[in-house]
Amino acid sequence: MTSDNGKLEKIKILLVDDHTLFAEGTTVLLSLEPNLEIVGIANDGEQCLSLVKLKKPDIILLDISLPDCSGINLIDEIRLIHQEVKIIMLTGLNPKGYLTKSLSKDVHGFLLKECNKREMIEAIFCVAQGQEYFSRCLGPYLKTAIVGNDEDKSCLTLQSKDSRDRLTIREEEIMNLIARGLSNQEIASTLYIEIRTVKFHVSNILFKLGVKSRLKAVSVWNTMSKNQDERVQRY
Amino acid sequence: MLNQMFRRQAYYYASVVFLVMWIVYTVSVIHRPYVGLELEHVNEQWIVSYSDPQGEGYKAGIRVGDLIIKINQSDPGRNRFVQIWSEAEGASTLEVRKLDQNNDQIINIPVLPWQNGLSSFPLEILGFVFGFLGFLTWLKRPLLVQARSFFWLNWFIGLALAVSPASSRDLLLAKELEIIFFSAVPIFLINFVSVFPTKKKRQINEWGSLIVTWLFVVILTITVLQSMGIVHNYSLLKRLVLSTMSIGIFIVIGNLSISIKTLKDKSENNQAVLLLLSIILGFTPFVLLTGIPMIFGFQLIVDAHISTLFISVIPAFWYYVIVNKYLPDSQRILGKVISYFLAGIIMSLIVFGILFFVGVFKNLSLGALLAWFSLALMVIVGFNLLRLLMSKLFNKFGFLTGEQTLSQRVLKLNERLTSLQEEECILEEVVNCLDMEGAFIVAENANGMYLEKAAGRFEGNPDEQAELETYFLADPRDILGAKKLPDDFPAEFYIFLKYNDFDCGIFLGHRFSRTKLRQEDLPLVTLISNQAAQRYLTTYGMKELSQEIKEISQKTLNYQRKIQRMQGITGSLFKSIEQERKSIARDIHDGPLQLALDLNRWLEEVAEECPSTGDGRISKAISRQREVIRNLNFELRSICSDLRPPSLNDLGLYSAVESLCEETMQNESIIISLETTGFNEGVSLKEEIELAAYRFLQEGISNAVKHSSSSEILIKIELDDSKLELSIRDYGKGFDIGKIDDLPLTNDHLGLIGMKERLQSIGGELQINSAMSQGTHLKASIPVKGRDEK
Repeated sequence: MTSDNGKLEKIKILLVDDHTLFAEGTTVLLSLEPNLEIVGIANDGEQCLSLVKLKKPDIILLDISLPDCSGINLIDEIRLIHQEVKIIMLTGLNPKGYLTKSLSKDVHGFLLKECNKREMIEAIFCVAQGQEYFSRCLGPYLKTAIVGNDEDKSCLTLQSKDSRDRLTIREEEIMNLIARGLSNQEIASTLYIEIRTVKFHVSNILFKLGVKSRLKAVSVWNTMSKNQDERVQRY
Repeated sequence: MLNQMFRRQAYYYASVVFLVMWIVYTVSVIHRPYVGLELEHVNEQWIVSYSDPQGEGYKAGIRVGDLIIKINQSDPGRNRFVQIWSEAEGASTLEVRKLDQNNDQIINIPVLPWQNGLSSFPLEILGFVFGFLGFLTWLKRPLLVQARSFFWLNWFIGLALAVSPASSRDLLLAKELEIIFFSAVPIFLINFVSVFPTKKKRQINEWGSLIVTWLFVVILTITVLQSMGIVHNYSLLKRLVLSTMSIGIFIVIGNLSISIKTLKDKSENNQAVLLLLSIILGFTPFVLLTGIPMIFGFQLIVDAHISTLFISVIPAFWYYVIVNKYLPDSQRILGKVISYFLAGIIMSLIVFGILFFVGVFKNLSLGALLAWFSLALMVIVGFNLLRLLMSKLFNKFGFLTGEQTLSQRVLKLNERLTSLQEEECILEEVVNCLDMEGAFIVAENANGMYLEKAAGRFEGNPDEQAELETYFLADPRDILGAKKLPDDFPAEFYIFLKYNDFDCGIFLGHRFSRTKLRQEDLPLVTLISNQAAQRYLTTYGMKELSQEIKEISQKTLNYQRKIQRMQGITGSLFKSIEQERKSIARDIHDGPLQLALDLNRWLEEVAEECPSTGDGRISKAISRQREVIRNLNFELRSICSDLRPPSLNDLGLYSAVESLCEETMQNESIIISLETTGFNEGVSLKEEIELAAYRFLQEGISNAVKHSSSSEILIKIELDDSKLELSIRDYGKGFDIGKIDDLPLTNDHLGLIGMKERLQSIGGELQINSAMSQGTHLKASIPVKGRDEK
């Protein structure tokens, strides 16, 4: 379906990023796709607005940190010029706060800059067809955002829906260490893993347990283990 | 008010009446001779019963027992004055038959205005003095009850005295008025002493007043009857008047005695003594010159009329006592009076004795002794008055003032000392005032302060100064006070004293000095030297102190300037640190991070394009590379976030704080509650304020996590029109805030101090409350004038 439509009409993409390296890389990667057309690269908010006016793109890949403004603040102005344009946010930074804000502006997708070509193309097509796309790695952040916001997010593509209340073996291992009062640094050195990984796991654990703080996680975990122990004893 | 006015006017009317009566009688007396004969009607004949030696009748040779045949060519019984008063006044011619002669003799009574005036004048003057002083007293103290009472008393006394010369002459109503005035005097006398010295009710006064008033009424009635010729009892009248007077005088003396006795050590006592003294002084001349000679029958020393003049001392004294608030010490005056008396007695005795032995006086006579005594007293009083007058005159015209006594000079110096402000002049003043020629002061205290100052001859004479100084230093300093120095010493006297913590030596006088101090002057000189030294040290101390204060305030000013400069520096330091951080974060974000991201993407591409080619080594290497790049990205991001939370710029303080709290809760075992008032996502403040607030919360949270061991942090953010208030509270260990300012500026403690400095640099303030095991409460307040609309 996509390819048929694509032959008729290429998806026009505007890339807004002041980092030449990234922008050029993206252009090279995307230009390999026959159905996509990069209609322009904007280096700041001002250029972005003039290109939107000029080229009427279908999709904008919008970096959050721009030299003259914040990408998020640009969204409203873009919409004023071109109502139907679909926006995918891009960030190379920790997406935490931005995600919530972006969601409140009704963006169509959110990508981390470290995503690979396939994910980016998938996201573009997904959004072009009227769906929404959020990066895989955003899982835990996204849930925080949902917990924090009561907005209807039913159509979100969530990849870890079913693993909500079941921790992986690795996560259980880390959770036990947390329950013993170890800090992230200590856990990292105990398990010979990177602190980044520990943080990633902790985020996931907290999400799965439905809590926002480490201390709450410990108390929930303790209750769960107790129940489990009782269950084991009963059998 | 009206009543008061009327009463005021009454005094003026009374004074006018007094003046008119006084003038009328004084003038009219001059042309009326005093006959001085008292007659008695026996067997249809008028016999002289008393002939006054002062009278013209006596002078014309009329004696007691002579018959008066006719007065003014008619029967004496038809003469009005004789009818009423049995006195031959108003007569110009008398037909007399002397006892030893049978023929009648016609005597003309001469009119001698000069002699008449001379004899009556003293009494008139005395009367006037009484009346005038009474008026003056009332005029000066019109509200004083004593003064008013004194006015009326003097009014009656004055008129009685003024009328008395006239009464013995044939003048209209003179006799009647004299009797009435004299008999009224006791009433006012008692009235006066019952309010003087203090208003006090006494039984004796009430009774006395009643008696004399009744007597006055009786006398008045009899006088009227007598004057109309209905009653003929002049001698009874005389006796009545005399006894009334006596009663009055007794009561007055009694009152004064009681006052003196009961009012001991009070100023009223002094007043009473002065009054009594005045009575004694006033009557003494009269007693000496007229009274005693009359009683003992010698020749009068002075005319009785003149001796009565001295009585005017009494109203003068009384006037003085009533009008003046501050009176001289009566005891001292009494002492002086007694000493004069004794001196007079002794002197008169000696002179009289010498004259007697030399042979000037042939026989010892009391009269002569009395005369000498009076003379001696008069000489003493006159001499003293003259001396007083002279010294007053000398003082007034500045004559011989150089010869002041030492006590005067000391007094002068004392006066000067209090007004001197410069310590330089004090010693000079001592030299000048005491006429010393030289003075030298040395002082030292235990703190090593050492002062010295020379004046007069010692000034500019270092050798002598050194000698005196050596003496002071060698002095064992066990005896306070003055000491006479040996003759070969430069100074005459040495005075040692202690003042505050100072040991002080004063050297006075000079070896070659013209004026020498006497030994008996030493106490006074010591006293004033003490004063001068104290004054000197005090002014010196004050000067030192004010100098110190000046220096300190100058230093304080300098420090304040330094602090201000430091604050400026601190502020810009923080600013530039933040600026630096921002630019580093930007550099990392735009450079290495982007490179790493690109690298990551291409590596993913590579991994995608060559899926496990079977060569385990390559795919392992690729996956290892991907892992490293992910870590690199993570690290770079963390560094950027730490340097400058990007969300603060892009999303504002609220989101940044929220993220901060969430992240902390995720990674640390702590629960943070965030309460906000008037502060939400939409609020945007100036960048520097948001940054300072964020850093404050960041630092506070980090401190609580690191040091407090608390499992809970409460954050409150309140925003109103003027300020942003932030508070961080934990319930952990706490610390001793007393030590916070003493903490060294090492990295461990820089947090809180840095926080304070940063807040102060944007006009905010930091409040730290903490105590051991009570938790810590940090409160920051930042002024937010004119919000920045982003």
